[in-house]
Amino acid sequence: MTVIRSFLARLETGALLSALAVALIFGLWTRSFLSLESITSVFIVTSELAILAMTVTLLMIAGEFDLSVGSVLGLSSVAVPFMMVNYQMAPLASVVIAFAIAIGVGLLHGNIVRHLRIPSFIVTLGGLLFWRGMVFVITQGFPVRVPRGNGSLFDLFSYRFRNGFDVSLLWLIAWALVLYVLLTQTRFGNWIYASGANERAARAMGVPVDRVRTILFVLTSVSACMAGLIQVGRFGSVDATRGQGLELEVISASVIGGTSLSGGVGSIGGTILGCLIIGMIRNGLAIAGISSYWYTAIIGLLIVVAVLVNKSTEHFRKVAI
Amino acid sequence: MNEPSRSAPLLEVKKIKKTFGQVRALNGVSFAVDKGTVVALLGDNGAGKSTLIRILNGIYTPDEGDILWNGRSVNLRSPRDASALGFATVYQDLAMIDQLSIYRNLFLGRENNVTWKLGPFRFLDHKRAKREASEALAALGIKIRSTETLVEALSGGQRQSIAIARAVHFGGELLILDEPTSALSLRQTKQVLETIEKTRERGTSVILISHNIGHAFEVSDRFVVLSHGETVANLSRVETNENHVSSLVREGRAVER
Repeated sequence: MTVIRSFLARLETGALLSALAVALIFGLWTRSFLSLESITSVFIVTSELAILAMTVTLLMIAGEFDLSVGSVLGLSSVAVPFMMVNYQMAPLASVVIAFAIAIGVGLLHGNIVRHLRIPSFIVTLGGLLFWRGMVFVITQGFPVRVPRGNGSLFDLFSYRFRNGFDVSLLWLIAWALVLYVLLTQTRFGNWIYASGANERAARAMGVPVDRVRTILFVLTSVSACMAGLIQVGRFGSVDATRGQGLELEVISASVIGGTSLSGGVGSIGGTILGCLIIGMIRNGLAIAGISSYWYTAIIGLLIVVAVLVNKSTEHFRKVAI
Repeated sequence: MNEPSRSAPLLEVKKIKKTFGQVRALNGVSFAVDKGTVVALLGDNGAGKSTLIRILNGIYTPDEGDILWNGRSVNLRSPRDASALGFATVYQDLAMIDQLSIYRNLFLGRENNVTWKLGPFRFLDHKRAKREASEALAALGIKIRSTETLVEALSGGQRQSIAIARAVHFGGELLILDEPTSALSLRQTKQVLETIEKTRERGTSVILISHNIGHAFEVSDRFVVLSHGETVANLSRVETNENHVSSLVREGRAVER
């Protein structure tokens, strides 16, 4: 009984069971879903999504939203080939500048929320539109290609080996470890949970809530840049709509993984599983030859079911065994 | 409780006055808190209790009067000053974070005692934090099965007791408890009052603010009654009884004894 109880008590359990169910359904439906080729494709989608979603999860645990991630991803990744093509910049220099842009955007969002006291939902909704607009202004709506012979740096972000595995999986693992340790093993992690769970009490206890959140806004934008660079490595070009709609996919993954919209609750493992579920559904439907229109509908259903499952196991989490 | 009579009280408040615009919130309030005693601060709404507590927390500065700490005059300019001296205020609604475990709550904002540093990061020593948390609770006789339990699973009395234990653990010499028993069941109230007793036994002083005179009477050594910004009574336990204190709070009249 205790084993079952402690299993149910984990925030990730709902997502884990859903992931197994999705794998089983597609595995039975189409034989090739469980092939190495298919599994590694799922990993590629999962990695790009999760690098961003995990950071957004931390921000949501701290009680804030970032709806601008898709546009920031678009902006920072379009900046790289744009500077290489138009200003003959070295690949490394343009990558450094892309990260600098991301840091600047994160600082801007964080400080507007902090000093002007505007909800992050509004600030980053503004960011979503503004930065996407900037991408269109810069590119005039045309795709930008990385000039030939510049691939080697981008192989660091995405390179698919002959067995199908992609370098991006290593980035996922590394970033997951960093964020997991940060969230569960450090003072900063304690502050992240406290800031989102009860902001007033956290402040009364001396937690620097604003600093915690600003740092997380910056990390979120930096993660968006990282995910963008992985896609630059994978496609070798960036179009003006890159990352569009990603903000909702990322929040969906977090919520499926057990993150609460009201703050204070969430986990790295849960969000990775949430991304894995999304990756499997996307790939599974493609292999099964189902219209991709179904994809959106299924994710919508899944979010509601996931929250129901998490609610029903809530009381197991409260009391330590 | 039997300190030599020459030694100064832990806290002495002398003729404190505070005016906000036209409103005179405090008009010469005086009282003292001896080491290891519980002083009940009573009075109807608007009597000046909150203003006094904010002054002791360094949130307001008094217009006139002195605050003596161990016989020395002190200047409380911020909550930080107050807590550096050893004042610890436990507010009921700001005490705990539901979604965090007991031990994480206990060290929230004061993690440095249970962390080790690596570069810019401070890593939590979970084992040590749990051990210290259990010890802090045991010291006040609070029985909790595991400090990993989330605070939201606790009763109101347990939360309040744990908040008191946290204040004591971090070296609070004078606890200010703001309505610690309001909205608690009888059994939970008993638990909180027991925690206050244990706190006193350890030599920590308490200022107890309460609307419930019965609760205050169970644990307090001295009763200070405020009315319209003035001290209308300052009585030790042997000088008075529950009915007498109740009528003082109700009438708000100065009574000579």
